[in-house]
Amino acid sequence: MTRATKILKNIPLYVWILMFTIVPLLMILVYAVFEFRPDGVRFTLEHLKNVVTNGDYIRALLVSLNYAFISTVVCLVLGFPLAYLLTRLGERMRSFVSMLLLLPMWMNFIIRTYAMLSLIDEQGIVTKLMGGFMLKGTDAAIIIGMVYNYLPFLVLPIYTSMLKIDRSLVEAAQDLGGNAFHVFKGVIIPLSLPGVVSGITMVFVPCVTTFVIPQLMNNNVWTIGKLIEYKFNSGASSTGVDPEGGALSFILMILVFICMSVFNLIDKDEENAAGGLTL
Amino acid sequence: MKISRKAGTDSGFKKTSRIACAAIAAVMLLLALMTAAGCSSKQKLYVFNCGDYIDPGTIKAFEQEYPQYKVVYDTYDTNETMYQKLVSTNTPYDVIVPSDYMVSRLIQENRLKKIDMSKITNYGKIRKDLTGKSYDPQNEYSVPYMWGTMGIIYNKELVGDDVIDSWGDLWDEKYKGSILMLDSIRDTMAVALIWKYGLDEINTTDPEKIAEAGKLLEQQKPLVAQYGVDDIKDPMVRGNYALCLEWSGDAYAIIDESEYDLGYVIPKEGSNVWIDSMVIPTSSQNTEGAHLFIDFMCRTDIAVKNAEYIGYSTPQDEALAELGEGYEDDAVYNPSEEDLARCREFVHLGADVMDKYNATWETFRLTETKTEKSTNLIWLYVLIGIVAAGAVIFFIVRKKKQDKVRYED
Amino acid sequence: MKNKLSNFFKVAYIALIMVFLYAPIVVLILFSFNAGSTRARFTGLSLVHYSELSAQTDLLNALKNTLIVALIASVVATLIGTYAAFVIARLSPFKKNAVLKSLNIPMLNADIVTGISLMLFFVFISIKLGFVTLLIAHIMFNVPYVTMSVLPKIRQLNKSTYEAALDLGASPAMAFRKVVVPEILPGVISGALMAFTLSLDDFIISYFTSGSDFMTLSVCINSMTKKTIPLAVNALSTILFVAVFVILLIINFRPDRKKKQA
Repeated sequence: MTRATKILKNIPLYVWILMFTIVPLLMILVYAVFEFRPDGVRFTLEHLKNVVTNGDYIRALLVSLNYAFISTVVCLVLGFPLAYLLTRLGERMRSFVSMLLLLPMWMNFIIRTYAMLSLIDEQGIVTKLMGGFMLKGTDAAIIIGMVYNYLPFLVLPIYTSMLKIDRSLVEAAQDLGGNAFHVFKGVIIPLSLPGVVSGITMVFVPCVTTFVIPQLMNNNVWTIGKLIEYKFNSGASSTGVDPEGGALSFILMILVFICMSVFNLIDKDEENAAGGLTL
Repeated sequence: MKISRKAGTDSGFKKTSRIACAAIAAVMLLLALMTAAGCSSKQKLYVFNCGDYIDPGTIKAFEQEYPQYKVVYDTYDTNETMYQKLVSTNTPYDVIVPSDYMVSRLIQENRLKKIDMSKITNYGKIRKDLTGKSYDPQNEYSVPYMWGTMGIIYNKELVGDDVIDSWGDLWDEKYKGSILMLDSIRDTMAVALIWKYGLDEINTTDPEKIAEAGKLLEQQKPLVAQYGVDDIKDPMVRGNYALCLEWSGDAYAIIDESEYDLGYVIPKEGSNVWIDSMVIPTSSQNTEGAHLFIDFMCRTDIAVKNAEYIGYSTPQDEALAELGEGYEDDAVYNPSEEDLARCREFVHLGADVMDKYNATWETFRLTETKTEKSTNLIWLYVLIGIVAAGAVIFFIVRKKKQDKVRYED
Repeated sequence: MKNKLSNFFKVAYIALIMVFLYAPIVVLILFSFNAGSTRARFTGLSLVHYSELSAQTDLLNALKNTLIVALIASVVATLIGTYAAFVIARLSPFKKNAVLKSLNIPMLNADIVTGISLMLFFVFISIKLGFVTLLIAHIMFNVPYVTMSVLPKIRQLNKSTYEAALDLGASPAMAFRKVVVPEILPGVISGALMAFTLSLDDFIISYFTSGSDFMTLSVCINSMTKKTIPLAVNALSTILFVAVFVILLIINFRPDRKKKQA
């Protein structure tokens, strides 16, 4: 195969990536720095500046980070032991339970969130059990919604990386006199770390950026995702596309990528980026 | 050895790329067939209407009457979201239903097609005093669909002996957590403007007054349980809230549906009267169908059905007569001359003024209410930052150590 | 004794989490059989919401659309993703890193940013928002998941088996079919399943890239959340749940199941 044909065969992939990944992202930047007014197009960095200096926007970002951080920690606390315990189950039981973890994902995010919401809203069973105290509209409702939706995304990568741990390593550690705690700390935790890292990324980023969960669970809170959705859908601009919406999305994108590179530092293996999230 | 080794992946690659190409071609073909099939059978008619603003049976009736059309029906919350979708997506909407001030804006921006009124055979049945308004003086662009006022619904049981007759009641501390407000920029701002400055300032362009209205709404925020449009109707029906800012038609429907004793009042300071009209945007590709649809909606039996279902006042004379008792004599549905004398229309204010409204509105919507415990997030983040930085350094150092160990091996 | 105790805790813990994950779904299913029309009270068993469902053409249409998009998108994404994996496997390390990183962007990026960027792009090049844009968007965010699950399999390919096949007189095409395909197939299948799952699950990207005339189930249900959602949605979800449950049971417990990790 000549070099030319080889390159020719690679071109469709490059075109694909360029067309549907790179160019659309550039569009966001275009809308962030150009103003499309009826009387012409104008270049301005004003919107980017406005966005990073607007106290309300910064607070929305901090609020989102706050919810995402708490949710991720809760997911980790609940999910890590679950993943570990799953590996200790028998083969059949194991695949059954991991199927149960995946099953809600087939039902769609909105249906799941609606299902959770219908437990905690005015007519919800949980509300009735708690003597009329409605969780909907509280911070806890958002956390519950996030943990409920994203827990499987955290458990599965951890579980996958734990399954890969060689049993003989564990046995070796035991033979060398390590007790259960030592084995757990010395073998299980370090070796499942790639899974933990990708699990965290699978949970943290969606939690920061989702607008549906805050909207449904507690609509009085403004998160960064809700803000961007508002900017693009509420007609809050006299020109159609709100350039501040573009600017906000751009900043969010940069933050996500910074976040990702930090995680990459911890876990250098690119291939785990898939989240080890395979069936 | 090396060459043949490559051959493995090369050939695999060749093969998959061939399969991929074939599959992509097949999918494209399928798509083309599907769109072709979709086109040949029925022409699409894109109707973009306010949520909960039509009897669902109407659309089916239209499709039965005109089987050549398939109605694609989509809904929006407010005039502003409608405007956004209209200008920022490229859906070829054929009929939209904006309010008066939005009609005027769309005309000014050349976004509407003229309607051929000779094709609207039922146009003569529309109330004369609702046509020829300032937003469309020559009746060239719009056909009224529904009209109404804005006021307060109150739950008589929760309000007790209080007389609700002023916008000021929406700022009453007594009703903290028991107030529902519309989330619609012009309407909600108007409430604050009328209350503070009187009815004459309902269309104010004065930046100071706009800012002051925003402040008033911010003050009110801690009292408000929920802002919304369609989503505040059901909570009010269930009787859990005392006051609710609503449009007359929704008020009529809510009062009708609720088991509780609810009332509707147009406050004494005056309010807004509005007309929602059917118009054909320039995006329309099926103008023929759009005319038929608009005419269909003006037909007496259809107008009656819609009016009954959604509870808004129909501008169609015959339909109102047919609705008869319970509608014609209902103060919510068919407000008295006296009530209407206290109501003004919105006018479009131009892009520059709207920018001010938008900025004020956004600040108000994003403000944290004082009742929410404002957590001191800064310290939390300093803490998280330190922990994260520590973790990163720890891992880097450990990785380096491990690498070293590996080299030593 | 100690073993029994720890075993008990193990099962109890897993069961508790499952209760958390499934309680909302169980309640959702329960109320789909409610004779009354609200979630306020359970007034008796009835199938009325299931028969109502046949009149809810919007919902049924949306369900059909969702399945069509998920199916086509996962098949196409599997093909493109596998092809991408073969391309990437042969690149020099530097190029590989670059291509892989940019291919992975949709996987790592915030959904809302991906959705908005695609919407702006489609509107800019004036493709009408609808089926085509939705499909492209779904394929686009599915591809990296497929590539990521195929790539390790390609890396593990045992080249000498392939050469042996050639030495034994197989044509390259046949050797590919007999040797390479079986090796990478598990990766391809799990990638395809992942793509299908993510397509079904997606809301945010669909929300921004679908138009009025082609809504997915999630977009349709989301537009209903403004008002009280009719129990017909519960009925539809129940049907969906049962169907998926049966499918996954069959996949997981087919008799000659090869030992495959999670």
